[in-house]
Amino acid sequence: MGLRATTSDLSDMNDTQFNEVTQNHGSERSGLMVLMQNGYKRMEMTVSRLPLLGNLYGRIFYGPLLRREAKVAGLEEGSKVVVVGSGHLPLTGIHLAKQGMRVTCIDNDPEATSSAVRYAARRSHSGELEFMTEDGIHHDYSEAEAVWVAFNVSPKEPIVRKAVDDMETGGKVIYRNPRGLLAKVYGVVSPSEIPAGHRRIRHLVGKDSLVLVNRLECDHCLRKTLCSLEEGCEGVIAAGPEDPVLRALGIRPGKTVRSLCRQPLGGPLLACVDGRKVAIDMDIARTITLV
Amino acid sequence: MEVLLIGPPNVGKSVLFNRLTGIDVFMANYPGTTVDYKRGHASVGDRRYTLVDVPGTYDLEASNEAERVAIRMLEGKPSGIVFVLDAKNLEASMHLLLQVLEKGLPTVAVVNRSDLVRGKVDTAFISQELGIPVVTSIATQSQGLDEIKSLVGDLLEGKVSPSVPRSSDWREAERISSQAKVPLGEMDRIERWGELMVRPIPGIPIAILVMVATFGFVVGLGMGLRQMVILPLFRGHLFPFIEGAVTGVVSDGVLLNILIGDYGVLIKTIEWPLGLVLPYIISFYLALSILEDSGYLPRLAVLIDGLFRRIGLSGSHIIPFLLGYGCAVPAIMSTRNINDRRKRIMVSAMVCMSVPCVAQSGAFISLLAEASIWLVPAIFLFSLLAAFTFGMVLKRVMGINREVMIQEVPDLLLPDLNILGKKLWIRVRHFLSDGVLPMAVIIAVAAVLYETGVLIVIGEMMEPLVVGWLGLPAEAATPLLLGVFRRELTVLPLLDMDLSMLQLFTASVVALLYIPCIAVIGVLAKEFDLRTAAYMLIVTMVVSFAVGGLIYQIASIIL
Ligand SMILES: Nc1nc2c(ncn2[C@@H]2O[C@H](COP(=O)(O)OP(=O)(O)O)[C@@H](O)[C@H]2O)c(=O)[nH]1
Ligand SMILES: C[S@@+](CC[C@H](N)C(=O)[O-])C[C@H]1O[C@@H](n2cnc3c(N)ncnc32)[C@H](O)[C@@H]1O
Ligand SMILES: [Mg+2]
Repeated sequence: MGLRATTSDLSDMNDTQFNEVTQNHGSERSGLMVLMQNGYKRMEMTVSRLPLLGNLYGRIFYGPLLRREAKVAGLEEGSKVVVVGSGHLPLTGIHLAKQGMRVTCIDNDPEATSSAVRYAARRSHSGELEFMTEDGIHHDYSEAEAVWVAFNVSPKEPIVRKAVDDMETGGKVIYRNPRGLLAKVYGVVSPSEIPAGHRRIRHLVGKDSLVLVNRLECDHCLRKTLCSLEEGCEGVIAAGPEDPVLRALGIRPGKTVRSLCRQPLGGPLLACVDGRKVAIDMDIARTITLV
Repeated sequence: MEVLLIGPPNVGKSVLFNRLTGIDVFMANYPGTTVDYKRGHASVGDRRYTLVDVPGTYDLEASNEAERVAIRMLEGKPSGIVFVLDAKNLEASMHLLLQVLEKGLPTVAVVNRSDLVRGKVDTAFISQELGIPVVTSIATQSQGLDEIKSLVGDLLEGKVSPSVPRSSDWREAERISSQAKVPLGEMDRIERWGELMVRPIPGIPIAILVMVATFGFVVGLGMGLRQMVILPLFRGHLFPFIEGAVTGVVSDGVLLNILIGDYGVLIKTIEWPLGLVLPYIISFYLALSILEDSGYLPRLAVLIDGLFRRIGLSGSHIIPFLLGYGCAVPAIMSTRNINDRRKRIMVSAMVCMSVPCVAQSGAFISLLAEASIWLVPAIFLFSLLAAFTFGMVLKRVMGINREVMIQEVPDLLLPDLNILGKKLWIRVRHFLSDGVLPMAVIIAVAAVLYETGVLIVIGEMMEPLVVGWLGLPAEAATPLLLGVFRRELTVLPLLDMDLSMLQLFTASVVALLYIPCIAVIGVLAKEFDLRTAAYMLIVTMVVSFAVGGLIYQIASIIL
């Protein structure tokens, strides 16, 4: 993705220019990507004028997703968070504010900021919510406990890295990676290349959420468990609950366990030990630590 | 003289038990199928002994009912123990075996399912390590039975000395089994499929396909049996014969009517249980047995767990529901391995309320398919919806906490035809012996009441409810009265009434949600208490009339 530096310099330009310039660079994947980003933006613009639709989507799909991310990141009421690239339809910010957090939304597009302010004024929430026009790459994240980096923000990786660097120990960065075909179009920001611990949340549909935790000292968040083991990967069990059935099924310290898959709707995780398949509740999988 | 058959779940104890005793114990490729234990008589040479199929446990720590039963039996001074190990999961079996050896009883060991590993388990090594005789077997193919019998003979003659207690920690179990075990080979095709089937993709689409196919199979085979085999037989030969014989002996009048009239005893007592219900008993239990033996059910349980969590249950609770589509009695009994009593009651209530038994399903199909083929899936989908809604309500009302799932997913196995046939026969025979006769008696009683006008009087008393609220003809009170005795009787009498589509659906919904039959009430009272049974009666009665009436009232406003 050699394009990244260029597009970040151009981030103050408006949509059309943005589009043309990238196309001149001629990389097909990035052209398509920008096209999709703009399409997405237009769509949001339209939806921001149809509050009911946005509301419905937020209730059914987006709200639960954010709640899950916030839970994994260990955020609570009153946490100070920043949303980078909040867009015309600042759902992320509103939902987090609804959960009682103190939210700052930034977007490098002044138009997005003003329509976001208008949209947010009609929604009620219990937290704090403010909007600023600023580029994510210049923002100072040192005060924040967590930073959400929106899907269509670019350049994504430098912003994610800056947020991780700026924040204090234990600060979290949350962003989403596409899966499958979309991953080919957009590319992904690989969490393992960033100096921070991470946990991946697989959702039933759509993207993966990644929660990065800065500074390796934060041992609670970095604890490797059966639950955080990526699908298809193996790990050696360090400790687990003293349950006789689990032990009989091979979930014992020292055993090599492979994570096969996860079931939808919060169903169990399927693990394999010594060729034996065992379905383990997620709540238990989280308590099985790996070396 | 008593010999215990002990081992972890799903190692083939029940198959072995059947081979040794000839008694039909239930077996399935589902960990924990044996909730109750079974005893059977067998002999070696001229020595007779009692063999006990102890419920499978992973451990002897008394942490659940099955383990408590096993411990109680071990303490009951048996003459000896036949311990069954699983060749494929040697380590876990070994751990339990070491615990059993601590009891200091004469013990012999069998390494079963040895066809599932490539190569031979080193029985000589195990035998030398533990100081007990060890043989291998393949229970499903009756291999190694003679060796087991001769070991049992040794046990009975006191030739096996009591086991020497030794350390029973996991390290020891791992050490012995890792030396005795043969390495697992490559995954074969069926195993790979087995794994794919528990991945959400393609597992969930496959599960839906499997369920639809099962439904189609049950309905198709049932209808086929009925239309092609049983009805022609009855209508062509049996009924003309009966009618001829009766009219020859009895002249006109009430008696003739009772015998071969509208609710004619001789016709209906044969046609309803054998012509309408039996075909579906056969097709349903065939399908269920295949699902059980193939090891598909635990996969279904895992896939559906997420959904069951919503109502505070775990995916493994799907078993009582599936059994309930056969009959609620075994379904309620199978809830015994649920530790939480309130959860047991909840599952039982859901089964009673919204899962039609096979007899009732067969009756639904006969009733609805003739009017519109779409009414059949409609009523079954309604039953699923009702179960889920009811589950949500019960979860709230009873304050049920979420269940945590830990479930072994055994490998898929090709069902053994012999065992399949045997299982099917046990279930069909059970219906023939315990189901047909009560049904016939009730039909006979009903016929007398009907012909003498008693039913009509009671029906008239129920008229405001049946006609005014539910929009059904006055005769529809009859099935509701009969339904107290058997669930399918809430449906079958409707066959002879000329009902509109809406009436058919309303009547079916009422029948579906209506009170459980008398046998189920009995089981509820026995498994829980009278109060629970009474609650169930009242709740189902009220809900069925309320929902059925609402459907009719709303539909008649719209239409
Ligand atoms: N391949 C194979 N399958 C077996 C053997 N013995 C039992 N099974 C299957 O294993 C499953 C569990 O058997 P069951 O007798 O119910 O186990 P239990 O729980 O120990 O009573 C059933 O599906 C049997 O058909 C064997 O020797 N070889
Ligand atoms: C389409 S929106 C995504 C909104 C998201 N779905 C939500 O509900 O929060 C992406 C926004 O990110 C903004 N953006 C892109 N790059 C940025 C950057 N470097 N700094 C700040 N905002 C940026 C764009 O202006 C656009 O409004
Ligand atoms: Mg058994």
